[in-house]
Amino acid sequence: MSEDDAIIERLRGLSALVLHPRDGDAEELLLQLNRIGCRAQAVWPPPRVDAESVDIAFILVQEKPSEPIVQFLERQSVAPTLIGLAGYESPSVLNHLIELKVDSVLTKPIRPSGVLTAMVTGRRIWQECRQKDRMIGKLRSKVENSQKMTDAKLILMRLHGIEEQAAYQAMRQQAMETRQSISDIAEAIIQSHELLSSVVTRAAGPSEDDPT
Amino acid sequence: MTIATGDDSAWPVGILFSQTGVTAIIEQSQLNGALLAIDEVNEAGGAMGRPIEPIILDPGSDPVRYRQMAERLIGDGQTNVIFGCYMSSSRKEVLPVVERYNGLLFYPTLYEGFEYSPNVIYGGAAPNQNSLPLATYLMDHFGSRFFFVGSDYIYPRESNRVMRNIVRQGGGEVVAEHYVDLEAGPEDFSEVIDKIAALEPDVIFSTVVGTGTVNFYRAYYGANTDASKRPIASLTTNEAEVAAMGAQVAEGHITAAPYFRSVAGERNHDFIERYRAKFGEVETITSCCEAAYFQVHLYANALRLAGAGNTDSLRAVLCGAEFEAPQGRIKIDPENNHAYLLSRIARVDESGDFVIQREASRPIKPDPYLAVPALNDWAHTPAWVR
Repeated sequence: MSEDDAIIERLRGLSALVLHPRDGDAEELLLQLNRIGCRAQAVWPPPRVDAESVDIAFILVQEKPSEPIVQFLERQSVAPTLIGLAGYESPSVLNHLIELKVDSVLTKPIRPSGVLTAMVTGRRIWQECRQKDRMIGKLRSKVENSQKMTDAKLILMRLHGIEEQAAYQAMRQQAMETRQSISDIAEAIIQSHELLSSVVTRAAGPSEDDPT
Repeated sequence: MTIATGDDSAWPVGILFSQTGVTAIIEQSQLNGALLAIDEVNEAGGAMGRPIEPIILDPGSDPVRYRQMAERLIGDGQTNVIFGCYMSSSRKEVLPVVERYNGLLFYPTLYEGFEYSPNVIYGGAAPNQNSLPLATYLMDHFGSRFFFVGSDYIYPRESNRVMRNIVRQGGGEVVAEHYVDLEAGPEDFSEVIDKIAALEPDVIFSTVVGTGTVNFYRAYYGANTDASKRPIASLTTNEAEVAAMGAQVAEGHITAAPYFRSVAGERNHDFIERYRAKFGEVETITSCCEAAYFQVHLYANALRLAGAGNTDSLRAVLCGAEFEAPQGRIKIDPENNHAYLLSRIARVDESGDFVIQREASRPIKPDPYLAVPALNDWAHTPAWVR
């Protein structure tokens, strides 16, 4: 099954929260969420305490930011998929949609058709953003790690006048003997080197070409 | 909106069933069902003493004409109620019109689900009410290698998506999926027939609709096939199409529907006899005809109960309304405007009659937003009675 099928298939298991005053729009939305088969509830004003984990939140978006909604979102440990409920398409409302980083939008008045589509597109964007975040995190640590390895190898090569391959082997050997990761060894080498050089620099006192 | 007719002596209703074009056979059958019910209501004194007056138009199986005619009926204020549409494509054309003018469309046809409009009352089966029971039956009796053939439009594509999911859950496979043009003639099926012969599936699931149905079954019969071993199963092939293709061609093939002419019971017997008295034959009675029939009665009862003909008043009493239909007792689910319906599987015998093989013990709740029906989902499959 493709990821996209999974989005549609899993919609029924989602817990949905509607943060919107209890009016006709909220009512219409709840009924449709119920038809679709989600566990849905509407709460207004936004709860001040931590709610149960929410997978998808439909939030009122107006011309001015709503503090309670922002605070509610900040308290969520995992950011839910956000669907903005917007009454106007004026620039101030649009701006607010951008600031809140909604994944999808429903324009009011809420009609039954369109809710499912907004959920699916919102979920896809949310899912893709999270996947990309995870991948970026992985790549970042990979790049950092690789930089660390290079730095550590260079230190060993300079200090002992050895080839890159030998420097690597030395680190690997040390890692195995001390049961640490090779990255930890690299880290330790870099830190000791920095420590040593700063000690040496201080001991030597102000350098000759110091202007003072 | 109120009915903007100068004539206070009748309840005008628009009737949009094609009497010409590719889906004429089945829509004529729906038209007959609606007209029979209108006669019955009017003979019983109408609703609040006023008869129902049908305004019958023929959209000629052309989706665009459905929209134009709906505009004429509702937009021009002739009525606020339409009975009509068979193909989803025509319903999608009428939908914006009934929504814009707050009218009501009674849609007496099975379809692929994933729709709700406060302006539509759905009378046919959703996939959880027919696809699921059919797939279970086929896998129990014939095997799990399925060959899909369908007309190329939304209903077959979506219906096949649902079926594919169920078949996979049952450990089966779809060996091929083939689409033909909506207006496919006899020669257009030779490729399909060859493929079936080559792949040797256990069962063929057909979502071919309209005149293509008769052409397909005939082509299959002509290829020396054995329907008792490898039947064609369908959700749409009905009594009218079986009559058109002939008993010899249709024998052994299988259909799942809420209603068959062969349903037992006095209620259905009366319905058939009144139909015979009006139309002089019973071959054209189908499940879609029965749906059109009970939807007119639901409308008449709603008029009586609401005491008014405007859409908001009617909707308020239609939600949750029940009716003793020829198939059994049905009910409009107030959650989604679809109907609790019976579920039956029938096989055509040597004289061209559908013989019921399995039926649900009680009406099944409609679940139009069920994306992936689960084979073992007890909530959707009631106990079966043979």
